[in-house]
Amino acid sequence: MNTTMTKINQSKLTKDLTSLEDGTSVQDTFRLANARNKALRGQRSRSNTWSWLVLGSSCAALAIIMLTPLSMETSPYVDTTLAINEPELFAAADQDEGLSFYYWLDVYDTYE
Amino acid sequence: MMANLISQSKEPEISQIASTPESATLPYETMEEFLKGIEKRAFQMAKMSTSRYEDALDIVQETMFKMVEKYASKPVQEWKPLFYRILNNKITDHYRRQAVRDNIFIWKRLDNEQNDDFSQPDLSSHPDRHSEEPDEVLMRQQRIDRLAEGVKQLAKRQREAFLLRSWEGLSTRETAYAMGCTEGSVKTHYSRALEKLRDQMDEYHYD
Repeated sequence: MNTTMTKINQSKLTKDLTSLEDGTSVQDTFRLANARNKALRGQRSRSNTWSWLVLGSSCAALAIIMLTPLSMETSPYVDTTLAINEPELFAAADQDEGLSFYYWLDVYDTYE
Repeated sequence: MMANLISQSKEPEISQIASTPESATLPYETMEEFLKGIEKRAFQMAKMSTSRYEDALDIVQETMFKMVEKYASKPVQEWKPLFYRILNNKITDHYRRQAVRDNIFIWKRLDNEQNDDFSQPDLSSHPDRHSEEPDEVLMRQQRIDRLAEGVKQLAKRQREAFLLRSWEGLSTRETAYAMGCTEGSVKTHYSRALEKLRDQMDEYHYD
């Protein structure tokens, strides 16, 4: 094992491998420098966090949109008779007024 | 003697690496200088491992992000082994994802095999090469092409051991940390790599 390793001209090998590294194209060098600057500024973590936030809120909104109509349509227990519309409200008010008249009459009769 | 054997039989700790003589003088002090000095080599190594230009670039980019994000506060001596450990892990992740993708999208696997965009840079166009004789440049180019092709054919662990030891010049201990194995395993992988590269390495033997 050692005989194979010691026979190698390490400096020649390193020189060739370094040539390979030096031969990196200008475009690749530029892209690597760009990646390095982004890494140093920590841009990925922020964009990553934002993307997760956007994804999460989108999913939540979608879930709300999908569930809301279902809950409204499929709730058969809503008692529609309890819903008060405007004429009924006035009728009830009239009825109250009528009752107060009879209370007054009752009181009046008692003292008379 | 016994302590040395025991230490070789288990994965080294990063704290042990900082005290090695190899890491005494370092040509970088800041993270920017460190990344600037290592990025091209890491890119070429990733290219040899993945055979795909875009994947290699992504791997190096991810490695740099993680290095800055998690390990910038570590001592400078530990940066290089840490960087290569992250790089190797990213390459392993790439292989795993690739295997899953290949199993699901069979037609993409065929496409990938056809579109292997691995190519060596043309050294003749490099400014430093103009001082050399054309024959010498051509011979070196052919030698490097053969070596790179041989390295590409190696098993993953053997390739890692070969590149980290021969190219990056890491010590056995640093290589062991970067590969996440014992020093004994590094020696085995490295010698097997040299054995497999015997034909290509003939040109690097002393006459």
